[in-house]
Amino acid sequence: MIDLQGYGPRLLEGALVTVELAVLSLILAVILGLLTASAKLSRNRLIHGIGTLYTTLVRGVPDLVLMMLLFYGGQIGINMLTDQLYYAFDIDIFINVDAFVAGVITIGLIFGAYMGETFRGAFQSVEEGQMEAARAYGMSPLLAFRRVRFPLMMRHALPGIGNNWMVLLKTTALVSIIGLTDMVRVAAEATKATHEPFLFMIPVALIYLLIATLSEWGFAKLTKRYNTGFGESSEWNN
Amino acid sequence: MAATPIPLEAKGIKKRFGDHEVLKGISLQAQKGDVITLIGASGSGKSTFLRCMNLLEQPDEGELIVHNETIGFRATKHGREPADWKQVERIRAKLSMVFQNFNLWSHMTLLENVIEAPVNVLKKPKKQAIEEARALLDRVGLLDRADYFPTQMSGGQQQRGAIARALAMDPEVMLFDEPTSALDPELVGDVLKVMRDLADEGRTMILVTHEIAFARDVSSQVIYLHQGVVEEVGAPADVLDNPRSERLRQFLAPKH
Repeated sequence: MIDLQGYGPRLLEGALVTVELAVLSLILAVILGLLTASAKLSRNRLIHGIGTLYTTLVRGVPDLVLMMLLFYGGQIGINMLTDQLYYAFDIDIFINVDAFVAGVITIGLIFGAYMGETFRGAFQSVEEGQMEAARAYGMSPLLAFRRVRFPLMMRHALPGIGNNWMVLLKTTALVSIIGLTDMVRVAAEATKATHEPFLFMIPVALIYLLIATLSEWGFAKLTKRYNTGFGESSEWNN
Repeated sequence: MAATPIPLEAKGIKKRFGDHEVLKGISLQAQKGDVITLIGASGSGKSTFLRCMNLLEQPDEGELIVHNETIGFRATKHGREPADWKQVERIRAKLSMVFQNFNLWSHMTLLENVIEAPVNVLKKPKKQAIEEARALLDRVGLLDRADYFPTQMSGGQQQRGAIARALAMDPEVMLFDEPTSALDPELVGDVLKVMRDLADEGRTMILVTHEIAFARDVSSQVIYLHQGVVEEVGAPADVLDNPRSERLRQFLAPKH
C-alpha cells in the first residue's frame, strides 16, 4: 500500500528514528532543564554562573553549528582522551561517536537551555508556603521536590514544554546532515534517485503533522492532570 | 519523680535579619500538656520565635531540645546552620505546624494532604494512614470533604483540614502560627473550637495568636513579647488580667 516506489518501509524506519531521537532528546532536555533552572536560582555564584554560561552559549550559537561541533569535535576530544588513557594507564579503548548519540546529546543540550528558562519561571511560580509546609512536615529536599514542587510547577511549565517539544521535533531533521538516516534523509535520497519530491516530501510532512497532533493530544491530557485542584469553578471563598 | 522527657525546650534563642535583631534571647519550656500562647504586637518576634522551633528559621544563638534530643549546629561562613539536616527532618516531623495561610498542598485532595507526610515521611502503611486520616477528618467535621481540593473549601474548612494534617503526624508538640488571622470573623469560631478540643485532650501546643479571649481560656502559660524580648510571662490570669507593664496594658486595651 505505502510502497512509494520501494521506499515506503525505509521511510517508516526513518520515521521511527525521528521519534526515538526526539523522545530521547526530550528526556535529556528536561533533565538538563531542571538542573539549569536549579543552577540559575542557586545562591551559589559559581553554580549560577555555570547555568548562565550554558544558556547564553547554547542560545547564541546556531543549532547546526553546535551539532557539527559536537559530532566532529566530540570525536576528536574523545580520541584525545582515550589516547591519554592509553599513555597513562595502558588502557586501550576506542570510542566511536555514533551519529544517533551525537544527535541526542546535541538536541538535548540545545533544548535543555530552553527548558531551563521554562522551568525557572515555573519554579518561581510555586507559592513559598507550599514548600514551607513540605519542609515543616519533615520532608527531605528531594522528597519535597518530588511530591510538592514538581507537580505544582508542571502546571506552569507544561505550555512551555509543549512548545519546546514541537520545535525540538522539527529540529531533529538536522541530524540528516551528520549522516543519521531519519525520515528526512530517506526522503531526500529517494527524491534524488527518482526526481519526485512530492511523492516523498508530502508523506514526510504528514508524518510530522501526525506526531505533532498526537503530541498535542498528549499534552492536553497532561495539562488536565496537573491542573487538578485548580479548576475554574474553585475560586477562593473564605 | 521520674524524669519524663520535656517535649520542647528553647533556651536563649537569638535571631537577627541583617542588622535587625528580631529575637534577643528568648526561652520557653513546654511540658507535656502545656498550652503556651505567645502574644505581642506585630514585629515583636513571636512568629519568628515559633518558626525557629522547627527550624524554618535558623536561630543564630541558643539551644533547642525536642524530647531530650538537642539539635546540633555548626558554624559556617554565613552563620550557624544545623549540623545534621536528617536530624532536623526527624524533629520537624514531631512538631506539626499549622500555618496562618493553611498551606494545604493545592494539588492534593484533603485526604491526600492528611496522609501525605505519614505515608512518605513516617513510612506508615497507606491503608492505615487512610483509616486514621478519615477518623481525624471526622473529628474536625470534614469527613464529607475528604475528596475536595483546598481551593474548593472555605478558609475555615482549610484550616481545620490543616489541623487534621498536623494531628496525623501524632506530634510531640503542635505549633500554631496565627491560625485564625487569615479567616473571616464568622469562620474563626469553628477553628478555635477544634483547637480548644485539642487543648482539653492534653495536647502540647505552642500558639501565636491575637485571640486574647481564647488564650485566656485555654493557655497554661502566656508569654508577652515586645521587640524580641519576653516582657511578661505567667498564668493567663496574671498576665492578661493583671498586666504589670503599661505596654501590655495598652496592648490589651484597645481591642478588649
